[in-house]
Amino acid sequence: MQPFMREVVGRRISSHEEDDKMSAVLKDAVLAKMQRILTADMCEIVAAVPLQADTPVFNGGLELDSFTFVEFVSVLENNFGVELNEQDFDSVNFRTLESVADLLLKCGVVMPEQ
Amino acid sequence: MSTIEDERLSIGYEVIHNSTAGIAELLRTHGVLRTEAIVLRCESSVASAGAMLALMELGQSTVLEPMDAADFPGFCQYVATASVHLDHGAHRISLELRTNVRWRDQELALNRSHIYVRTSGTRGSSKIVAFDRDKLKLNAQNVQQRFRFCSKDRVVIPVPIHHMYGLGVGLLPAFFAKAPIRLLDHPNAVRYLEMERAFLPTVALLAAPLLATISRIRRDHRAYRLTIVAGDKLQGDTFLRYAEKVGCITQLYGSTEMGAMTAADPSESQAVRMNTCGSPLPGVSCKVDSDSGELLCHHPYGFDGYVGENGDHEPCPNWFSTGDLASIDEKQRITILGRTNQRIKRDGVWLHLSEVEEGLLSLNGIEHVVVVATGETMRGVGLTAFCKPLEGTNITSGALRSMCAQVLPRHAFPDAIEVIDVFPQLPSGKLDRRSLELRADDLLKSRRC
Repeated sequence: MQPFMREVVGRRISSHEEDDKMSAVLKDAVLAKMQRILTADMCEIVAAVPLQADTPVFNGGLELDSFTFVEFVSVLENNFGVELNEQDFDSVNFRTLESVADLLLKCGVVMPEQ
Repeated sequence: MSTIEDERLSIGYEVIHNSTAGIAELLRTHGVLRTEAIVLRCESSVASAGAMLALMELGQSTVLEPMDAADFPGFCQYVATASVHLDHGAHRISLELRTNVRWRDQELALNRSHIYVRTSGTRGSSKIVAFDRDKLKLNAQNVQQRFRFCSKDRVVIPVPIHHMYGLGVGLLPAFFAKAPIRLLDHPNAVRYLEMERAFLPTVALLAAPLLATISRIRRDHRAYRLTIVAGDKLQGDTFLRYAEKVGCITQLYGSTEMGAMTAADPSESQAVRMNTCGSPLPGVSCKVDSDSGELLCHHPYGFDGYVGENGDHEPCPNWFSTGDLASIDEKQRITILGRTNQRIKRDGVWLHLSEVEEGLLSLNGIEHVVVVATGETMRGVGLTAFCKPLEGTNITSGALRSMCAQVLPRHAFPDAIEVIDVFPQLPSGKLDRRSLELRADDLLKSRRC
């Protein structure tokens, strides 16, 4: 189990059902933290966009361009304590904020305040 | 095998040739002469690229307009949209024609086959540029020769193919070299890296902002034979970071009117490729006007002239004024110093905007600076600096103002400084200077109030 999961879960996952519930809880926690981070660190970019799970990262959502995408990645890596691999950069992982949350979970996010 | 592909489709080069008869028949039934221009609505797709190449093969005069354009030149009766369909198991490119509502039945001043492209409108207004079809081919062959495009290359073009950069430096040279081509519409770093894993390109044609992004998020080494970059000048650290992971980069200098003018040969040293735009392409002559410092260019395969919305023609001068200040070294290598309209007088002293930018860039914590000149102040032309801080740096415009004296003479102090996180861009990826100028006007007005 990854460090963040241990911190948040604090107990043993014993079944698929619990596994699914726990995944949903973790994802919500990551999404909530992403919203806080983006609102604080990229307020100019995200001010006019509702930060929801299904908000697209690019077209029709955050509308990140070349420069702001670098900032977006950097803000997430620094705040979640992960480093993304080149293979992680694909359109599935960066489709919506929820997809990015899934990616961060796969990377083993750390959330000390939890 | 030579193919053109996009996200959805891949076709062999032979499909283009095999589609010309059907397109010619369609044009004939609509009574379109070869010298009567039609509009082709373009995106970075197999259909658009294939139609563009088929129309060129037919010698059909064509105005290349972006897919989302709403208005088309009044001298075109028809607007064409391309598609690819299956005909007895084989791909065919076809056109759908509709009447241009702005069409005025006026004869076009140019009576040969031309390809018409629009300038990017960096300064706020876009012009239609007419290229003789044969000269456009020779222009592209010049590029092919300088960069040694060959059929073994795998060329990715993530820039618009209806602009001269994508068309004259990417699509046509790669097509003439029979190289596999991958088009990428609406590119961003994620889509680029995803494409890269599937297509395995060896040659890339990039705009500076996308290259900068890729250089920052790329973790692995991936050797390309060549990366060509044009548009904004590449910062030295970006150049080196990208080159370390990907290999040879060369900076190209060109314009919509001239096509490619200069580019460093890939065999030149890294220092030459990083600091200059290389020497003129074969047949191209460049000189610097001794009074103004402006770069002038004579191009045997440059444009024929500008065409107005109603077909009137303004011919190309013998020496084209690029609007850029440049220096030329003893080996004819060109270094672009800035725009001619970026040279101003303050306190009676000539000042180039790049001097102010360099001064501010030398301050700690600043990643990028753009200075624009607008309006009038007591010192002369108004100066506004837009500064992007380095990531993680907290800096205010007040702090920057207080540090100006360390790096700039008094007459070069900006009248206003704004800290900015994101620079506005045009759809082409170039810096939107016009937008910054408007913002600068507002800032200067608010200071006066």
